[in-house]
Amino acid sequence: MKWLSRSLGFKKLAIYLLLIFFALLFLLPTFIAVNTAFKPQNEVWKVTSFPSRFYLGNFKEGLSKIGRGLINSALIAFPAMLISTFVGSLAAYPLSQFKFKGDTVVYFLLLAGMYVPYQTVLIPLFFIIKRLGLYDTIPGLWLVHTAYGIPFTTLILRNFFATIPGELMEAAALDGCSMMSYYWKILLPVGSSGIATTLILQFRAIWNEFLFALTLTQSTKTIPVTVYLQSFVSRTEVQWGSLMAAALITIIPTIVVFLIFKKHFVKGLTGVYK
Amino acid sequence: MKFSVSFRQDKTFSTVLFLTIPLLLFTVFFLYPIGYTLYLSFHEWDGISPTMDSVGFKNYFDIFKSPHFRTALLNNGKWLIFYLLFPPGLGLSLALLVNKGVKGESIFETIFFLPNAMTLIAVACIWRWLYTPGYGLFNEVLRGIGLPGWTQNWLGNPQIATYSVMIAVLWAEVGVFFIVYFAGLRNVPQALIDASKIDGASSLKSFRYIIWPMLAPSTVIVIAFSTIGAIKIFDLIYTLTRGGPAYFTSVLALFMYEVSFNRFQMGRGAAVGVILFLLAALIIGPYLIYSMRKVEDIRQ
Repeated sequence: MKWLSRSLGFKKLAIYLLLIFFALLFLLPTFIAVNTAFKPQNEVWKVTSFPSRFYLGNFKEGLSKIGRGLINSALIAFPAMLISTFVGSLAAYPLSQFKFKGDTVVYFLLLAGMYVPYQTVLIPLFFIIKRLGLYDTIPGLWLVHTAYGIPFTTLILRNFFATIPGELMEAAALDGCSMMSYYWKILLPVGSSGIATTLILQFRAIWNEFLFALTLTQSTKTIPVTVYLQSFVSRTEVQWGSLMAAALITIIPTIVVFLIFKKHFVKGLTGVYK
Repeated sequence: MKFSVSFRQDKTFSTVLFLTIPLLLFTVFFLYPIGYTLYLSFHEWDGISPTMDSVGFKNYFDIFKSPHFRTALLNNGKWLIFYLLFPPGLGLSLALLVNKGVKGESIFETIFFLPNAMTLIAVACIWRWLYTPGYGLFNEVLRGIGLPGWTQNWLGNPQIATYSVMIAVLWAEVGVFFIVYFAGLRNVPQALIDASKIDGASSLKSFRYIIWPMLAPSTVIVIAFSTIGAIKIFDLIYTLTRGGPAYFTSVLALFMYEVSFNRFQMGRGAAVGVILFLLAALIIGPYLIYSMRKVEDIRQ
């Protein structure tokens, strides 16, 4: 049986080598970006070499170009993730807890809503937002992210709330608990892990969003960081060092959130399509 | 479950109360705009003038005659094929490898998913740098290994630009496919695979006849991701090539944006929006019906 164990060992080794190969391949683009971002101007073109010294000028320059965008994105993303998760939880409550007339219609609409191409709604959306006086405003983007987040936030929270045992509601009803207080006092606290997952995924989605931002903002005090970054890369003369630094600064918030809350990402991304 | 009369009344009242805001928003931001886009697609309008002219199907005819539209539609087809084959294929392969009981499983998971946490605009910045003709990584490596003839203008050559963008998308999005398949593999009992091995099944056979069928729910999710990805693709192309050179890398979403918000032909833009909607309905429709049937009744 010795040959068998040896061949098993060989197989394991091959798996590890393959995985490490892929892992390195996956890390390579990010590594090149980091490597470039720390290089002084005159070394940037030597893409395969390391920086001769630890140069921070690119980050300074990058930050000066997109800094305002970072602030705008934070002002957009934090309230929008809270509001959109809250509104999703409102619809998820009845959808997860009891039958009602038209429940399958509501469920179908929300599910279909996840797949509507945004280009189909973009022109009317532009004029709705203008008419509401919310064009080029941060609250306008709160509203838009809340509205277009509804299918995702509702369905994911519905799946989370559905795991709360029905006996809890029965017991609460016997104790004279109203539907309203059941939502505030039991559903939200018991479903808090689902709420956290939804908040995290909404933060990522809103921070990373581009199309609505591109269409609905135009001034420096509202444009989020994705659009700043995009206008930076689209120039013909690109400063690669400071561009890489700006790109890295832009992704830090979502990367940090992902590294801290990895379990929530996995649970959320596989949980919404139950 | 038996609830008192007052509780049931409370239930009806609360259901209406809780659904009001979400459904109102859904109506204003989904249903109404879809209807309005359809209406607009039969009109000519510059977005400013107070009146619009009814033109019947003219916008649709004009679009179908436009070479830009046909190229974009063809590219969406290419994207569909790409999305159905490569991200799921690579995602599944990586999931199978990590699932072999390797150490540091969580590290690999993090590495493969990491690009997925980034905004696609940053992804585009990084890949534009890698693809830079003069001294970007790809050409530099090709020169380094003695293949200077293989260097390319990766994003500027119309023959290959779309495929270059696809590689960037593969890197950026494979993580989610990996995670879905990885979670699916967790549900395949190891005992079943071991038993098949004892019965003499090769790895390939146990994959084909045990693992793959048990991954069907994951595959359904993956197909939904893929098809919608192919229809919605926009951010990376907009930032990497803006549809260029000329319109060779354009897709319908980009064509729609340009026509509506750069050329202010709202009617035509709306017509493209309608076509996108119909394509989405055609491709996603079967998945929706499948999901609706499968929805387990989880409520009382």
